[in-house]
Amino acid sequence: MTTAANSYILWLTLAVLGLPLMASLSCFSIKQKVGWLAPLLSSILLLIASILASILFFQIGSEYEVSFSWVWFNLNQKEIALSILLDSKASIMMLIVTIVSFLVHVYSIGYMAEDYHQARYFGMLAFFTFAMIGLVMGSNLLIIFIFWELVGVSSYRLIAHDQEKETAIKAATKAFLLNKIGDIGFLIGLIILWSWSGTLEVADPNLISIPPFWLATAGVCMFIGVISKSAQFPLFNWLPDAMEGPTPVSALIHAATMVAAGAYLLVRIAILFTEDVLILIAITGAITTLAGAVGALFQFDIKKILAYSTISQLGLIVMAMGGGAVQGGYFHLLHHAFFKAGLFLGAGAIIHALHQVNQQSNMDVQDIRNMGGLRKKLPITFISFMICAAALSGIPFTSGYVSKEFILTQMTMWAGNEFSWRWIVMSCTWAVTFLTPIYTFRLVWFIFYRKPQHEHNIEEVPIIMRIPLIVLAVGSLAMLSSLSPFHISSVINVLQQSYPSTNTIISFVSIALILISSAAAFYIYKNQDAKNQKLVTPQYYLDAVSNYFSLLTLKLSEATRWFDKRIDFLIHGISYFQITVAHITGWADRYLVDGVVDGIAYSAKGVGAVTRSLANGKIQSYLLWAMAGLVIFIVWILY
Amino acid sequence: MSKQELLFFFSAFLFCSGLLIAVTKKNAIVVLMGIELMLNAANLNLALFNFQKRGMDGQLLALFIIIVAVCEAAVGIAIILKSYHFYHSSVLDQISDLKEKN
Amino acid sequence: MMQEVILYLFIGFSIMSVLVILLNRNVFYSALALLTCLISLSGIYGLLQAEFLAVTQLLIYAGGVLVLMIFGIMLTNRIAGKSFESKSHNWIPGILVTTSLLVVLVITFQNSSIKATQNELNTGNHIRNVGIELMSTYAAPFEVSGVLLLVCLIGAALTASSFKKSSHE
Repeated sequence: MTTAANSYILWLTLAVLGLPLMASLSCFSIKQKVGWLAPLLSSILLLIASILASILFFQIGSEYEVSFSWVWFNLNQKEIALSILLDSKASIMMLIVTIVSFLVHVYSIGYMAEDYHQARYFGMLAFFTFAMIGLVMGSNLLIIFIFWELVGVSSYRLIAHDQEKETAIKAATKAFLLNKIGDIGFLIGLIILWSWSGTLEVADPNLISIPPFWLATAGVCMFIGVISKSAQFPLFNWLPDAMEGPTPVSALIHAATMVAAGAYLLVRIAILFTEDVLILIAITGAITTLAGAVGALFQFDIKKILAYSTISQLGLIVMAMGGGAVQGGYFHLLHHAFFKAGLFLGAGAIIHALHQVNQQSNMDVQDIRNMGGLRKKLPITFISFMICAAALSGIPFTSGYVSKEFILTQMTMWAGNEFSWRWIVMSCTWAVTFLTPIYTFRLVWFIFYRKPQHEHNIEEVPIIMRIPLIVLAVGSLAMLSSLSPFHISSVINVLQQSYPSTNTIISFVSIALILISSAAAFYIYKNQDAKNQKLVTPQYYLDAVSNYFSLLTLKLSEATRWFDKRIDFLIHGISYFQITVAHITGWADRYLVDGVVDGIAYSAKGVGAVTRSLANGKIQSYLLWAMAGLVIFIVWILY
Repeated sequence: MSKQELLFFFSAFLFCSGLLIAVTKKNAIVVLMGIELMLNAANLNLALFNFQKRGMDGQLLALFIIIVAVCEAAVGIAIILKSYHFYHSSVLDQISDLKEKN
Repeated sequence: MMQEVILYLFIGFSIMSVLVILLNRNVFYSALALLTCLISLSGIYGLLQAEFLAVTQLLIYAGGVLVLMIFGIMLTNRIAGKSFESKSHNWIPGILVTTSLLVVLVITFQNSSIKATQNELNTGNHIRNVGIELMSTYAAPFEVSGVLLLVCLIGAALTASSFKKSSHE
């Protein structure tokens, strides 16, 4: 590419990075009196940013890789550079981030209309976007780490936006602390890489020319960072709690910025991961995806269901990346951004509509058991929610289907024909494909189809909140990323690698599976009424199982009692012996162990008393002792 | 004992008694006086060196020491005044915030 | 001969005044004794042909610092309603340390070559030489000490003044 074109791209990139920052700064500096200006201003700046990002995306296309770097500082002849690496993956991620963020901004104008701290909210929202864009475009791992931390901080501020709510503060602190665990991992990984290779550039081949053991260790450490940021298996607790934040924030966190950061990092530093680390990644993803799906089945809070589904989908993505399906996983990440944002904004619209009506009553507006029959009352929300839900479950003609089928194909090919541990991971993929429609349509049924539980006179949300919903719903249709709805021959040829030939059987089976499970879910929940409601609640089954268990235990105990009497004598003998041993141990403990411990403590106390008498807080004594030390020192030096 | 030798011993004595004053007296201002005495002992030594050798170095060094001593005295008195307002005492014993509270 | 007598006189004066500071309890007397000590020191400087130093000593120490200290004594002791009593402590360890320091200093001096140096008489206009040196060789420390004085002036004024915010009452 020519230099002129290069500098053109550079300016575009910096503008995309700078506009959200500018929006954030101007929001923070706006006075309370003209607070209504903040949302408008930041939305407009974000719109410009997303337009620029799309121009940038088409400029970069799928072939170019542009990188810029400026030396930041030198350390022992090794330099740290402020560097940018733009390839097709980064540019499409930037595009998605800016678009989703713009839509969330627009939506928030309606959603947060009555909030007093609007300027702060929009400022943090724009700052969040800025941090994510910086993370996406950065190429030096130190730069990525800095933006990674900024993402964490701004999510903390946003989750705790309702500062009066104690639960919100607790949730934010939890999210922050759990993320810190991962950050420590990330930092240790950075230190290992820096001390062995002396560079932190992801594009530098020196980065991975280090001993394999340390490469693997660094990979694991970086993956710990990903675990916490993307809410993977041991550290996913913060994500459902983070629902305490305002709903548009949840949309942003779940779709484009926070949790996508971890998965994006997996793509960015894919060269770091050795074979063993990939196994760990795949297995972690598999556990997460199943745990998330099962968790989503049993929740009643609308936002928590969506949160668990995010965990599940991210687990799927991470598993795909750890397995053979990097492109599929990345595709799913992008698609997921759209439909999950759509779902969250839809949920927000429902909550908002219910909240408007039920401000006085104590009803929990987020509980899906309190909803029902909203199909007629919120038609636009219903349609967009349905499309996004279809995309989440992977019904054909939606983007979710395309990427999910892609992942399934790649995972199946990766698993191979021989049975191995890979089959287990692969079967997790299929299981999740089956489970997703069930919890999705459970949600849809509860909200929209069930008989209304309460009489509401609710109205459709304001138009400014409807527009983002429609845009996201359209974006969740398959047409944007591929011409044919059934497999990926993309117009936007994002990842230029060759695609595996679509396996017809897999496509067919997956479609069948998805359709069957959707239909089943719909059928189960549709026919559910008061008398057989228990059949679908998990508690029913749990109760039944525990009943059997208790019966079994009763029988067992009777049998044991009979046996017990026979061996009583033996047990007596054993217990006498045990008591004797215990006495001996007790004596030893008291006199030998305790004596040593007491002695140590006593001597420590004595030393402490002597030392403390020197430090009596009087400055003249200090001066005296210093002088005495000086005299001794002089004598020692001179003679 | 020559004149210079005597003066050296005198300056050593001055220094040590200044130190003794700084260590033993409880009143902060007297402590400050002790410090001034120590500085003067050093100055006396420098003046002696200046006397022994050609050039002005010792004398000028002593001059700068005086300047620093003046600054120290001014700031020291200011701090004593301030702490007097704060603790209602200029006795160093009672100003023992450095000690652990128990 | 006359010079030596005067020197011994000055040394005797200052040793006595130092002993007064050490042994008496009245803070005000201590300040006056310090004044005597400083004036006799400035006389010793004059005998050592450091006239400028002697004058500076008189002006700054006897004129400036001593007045400052007396003001300090007035301001701190009067308000409390007590007399100028000053107690003392730490005598035994203090005397131990200082006498050992004195012994070390004397022994060091006996072993050093300083006492062997003979006096080459400096002739000429000393004060003029001081001025030239101050403006040429020692220009940088001179400037720096000017800045130091300014900073100290501001610092002392700020510390001692009682603003609403900085006062603790």
